[in-house]
Amino acid sequence: MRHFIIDTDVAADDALAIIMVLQHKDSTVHGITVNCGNIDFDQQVRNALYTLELVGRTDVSVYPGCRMPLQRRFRSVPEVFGSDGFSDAHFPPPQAKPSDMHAVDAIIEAARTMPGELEIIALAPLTNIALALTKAPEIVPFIKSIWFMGATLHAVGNITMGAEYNVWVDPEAADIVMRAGVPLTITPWETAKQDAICSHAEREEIGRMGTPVGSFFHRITETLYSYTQGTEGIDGAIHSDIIGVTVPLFPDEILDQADMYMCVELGGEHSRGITLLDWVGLAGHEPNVTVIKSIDNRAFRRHIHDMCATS
Amino acid sequence: MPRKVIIITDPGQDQAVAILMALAAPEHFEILGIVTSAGNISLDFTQKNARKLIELAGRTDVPVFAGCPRPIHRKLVTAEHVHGPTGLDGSDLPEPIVPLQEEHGVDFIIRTLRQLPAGSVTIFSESPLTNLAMALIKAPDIAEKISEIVMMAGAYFEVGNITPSAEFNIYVDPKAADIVLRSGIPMVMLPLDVTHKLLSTPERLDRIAKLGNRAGRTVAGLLSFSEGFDLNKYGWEGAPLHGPTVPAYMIRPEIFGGRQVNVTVEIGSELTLGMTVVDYWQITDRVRNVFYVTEADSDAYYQLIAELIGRLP
Repeated sequence: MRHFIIDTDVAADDALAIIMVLQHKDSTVHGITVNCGNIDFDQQVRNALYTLELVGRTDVSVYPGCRMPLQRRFRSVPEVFGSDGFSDAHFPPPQAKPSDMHAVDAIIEAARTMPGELEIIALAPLTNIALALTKAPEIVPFIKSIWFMGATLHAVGNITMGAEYNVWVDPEAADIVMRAGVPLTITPWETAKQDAICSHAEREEIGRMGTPVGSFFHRITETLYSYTQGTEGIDGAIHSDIIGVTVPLFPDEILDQADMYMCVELGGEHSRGITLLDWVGLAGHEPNVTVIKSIDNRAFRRHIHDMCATS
Repeated sequence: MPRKVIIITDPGQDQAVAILMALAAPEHFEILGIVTSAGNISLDFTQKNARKLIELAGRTDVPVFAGCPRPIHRKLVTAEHVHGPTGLDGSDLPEPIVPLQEEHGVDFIIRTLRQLPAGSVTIFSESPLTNLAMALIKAPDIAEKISEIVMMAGAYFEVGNITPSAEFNIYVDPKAADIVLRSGIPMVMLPLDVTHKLLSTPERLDRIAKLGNRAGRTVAGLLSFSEGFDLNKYGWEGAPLHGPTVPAYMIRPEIFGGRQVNVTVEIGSELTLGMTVVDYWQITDRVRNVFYVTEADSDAYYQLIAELIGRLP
C-alpha cells in the first residue's frame, strides 16, 4: 500500500487527478492539502470538497493551506479553468467542511506518523511543502518522495515566456523543495504538452459515457479545452495534473526519465521562476531531481478513459 | 495598562538583557510568550537560554516556545564569533528546569493572535524575523491583530555588521524581513544607526555590575564577554548595545528620535543581500512603512537598563 498526500490548487484538472488517485486500489490518500494557485483560494477548497462528495470519499480530509506564496504576489488563472475552476459550472456548495488543521501541519504530521512511507503529489505551487520543510526540517528523511508537476525542460513557459506556472507563483518555495534533499520527481510542462493531451473528440466521447465521473470530466474541462486550443493551437487539452498523478501511480507508462540537477532563477527582469536543467554537466552538482521526459500517451489516455468509465 | 507582547528572540547576550528588562517591567509588558529563533546561535541554545533567563528573573510564568530551526530560504548563519559557543558566555546560569513548551513557536503566534481582538498585540523582536514571517504566510488573517512590530534590525548610515552592507538580524533571513516589511503592519525599526550611539562604556557596565543583585552581575558578565569582539572591531570606548533598544523604546519613546520612512530589504543581490535600503530623504513615493530610529539619549537609556535590571533577584 502506498500513502499519499495530494497538494493541489483545485481547478478542473486537479479535481480529475484527485479522482484518479482515489480510484487507485493500492493507494491511500491521507489528505488533500490546498495551496494558492489557479483560482480563488476558498473556491479551490470548495472544489476539493465537491470532488470528494462526487465520488463518495468525504472520509478524506481537505486541509486549507497557504493563501499566498512566500513573496505574497501572484496571479491566479481563471482564464484557463473558469472563474470557479470548473468551467463556470457553479456547482452547489459542498456539505462537507474542510479540516481545522492547516495544510502545513497536515504534511508535517503525516510525515511524522508514517516515517519513510509518505509520498506527496504536488500539483500546485510549493508553498505548503516549503513551509512544512522550514517549520519542521526534521521531517526531510521521513518523506519517501515528492512528485511534482511543474517546471520546464527547456524553458518553454506557460505563464511567462520561460516560466511554468507552479514554479512561477512561488519560486522561493520551489527552490526550498529542490534543495531539501527529499527524493523529487518532476514532470515538466513540455512533457505534459507532448504526452498528456486528449482530443476534443475524446472529451466528447467521455461525456457520452453517462457515468458520474465522465459527465463531471466533460462539464468541468470545457474552458480548459477552449483555452488550450486558443493558446497552444492543438486539438485538445493538456492534462498536466493528470499526468502529475499518472507518473507516480503508473510508473510503467514512463518511457524516458533522467536524474539531473535542476535549479530555479529567483531574480531576473525576465527570468524569475525559470528552471534550469544541467543538460551538459556544467553546474558541477549532483542530480537533485528525476525528470520525466516522456510517458506513453496512449496509455495515458486509456487511464483517463478507465477513470471516467468507473461508475 | 501593560502592553501585550510576544517576544521573538535568539538570546544572545544583548537580547538577554532586553528580555530581562521586559521580565522586570510587568507594568509595561504583559508577555504572552517568548518565541525563540535560530540566529546568533542555533535554536537548541536560544530556547534553552530563554528558559535560563526566565528562571534568573523569577518569571517562570512566561512560556517559552521554540520556533523554526532555520531561516525560510537560506542556510542558517550564526555569530558565535561574537556571542561565544552558547550565546550566554560570560555568565554561569544553571541548566534550566522549566520545560520548553511543546507547541511550535509559529503556531503559538498564530493561536495567540487569533484569540485576541484586532490591534491588541505588539511584536517585540530581537532576532531574525523567520517565525513572524512564517506565521504571516501560514495565517495572513493574524496581521490585523498586531498593533505594532518593534524590532531591533537593519542599518543604513552605519551599514553592516555581518557583511559590509547588512545588519545581522536582517541578513540571516532577508526573505522573512521582506515579508514583514511588506506586511502593512505599523513598524518601528531600531537599527545600528541608533545602537552605535549607545555604547556600553566601562562606567556604565560597572554601574550594572554593582547593582548588588545576581541579575546585575550576570548582565555585566554577559556584556563584558560580548563587547570584546566589538571593541576590537570598532576601537570605541564601549560596544553598541542593540537588544535593549526594543524595551527601552516601548517604555520611554521620548528618549528616541527618528522619522517615518520607507524601508525595503535587498533580497536578490549576492553582494548586498540583506541590506536595508532606507528612503531617508523621501526621494521616492514608496509607502512609509517604518518609524526608523536614529537618535537616542544614551544616558537615559543606560539609566533605564540599570533601573530595570536592578529590580530583579
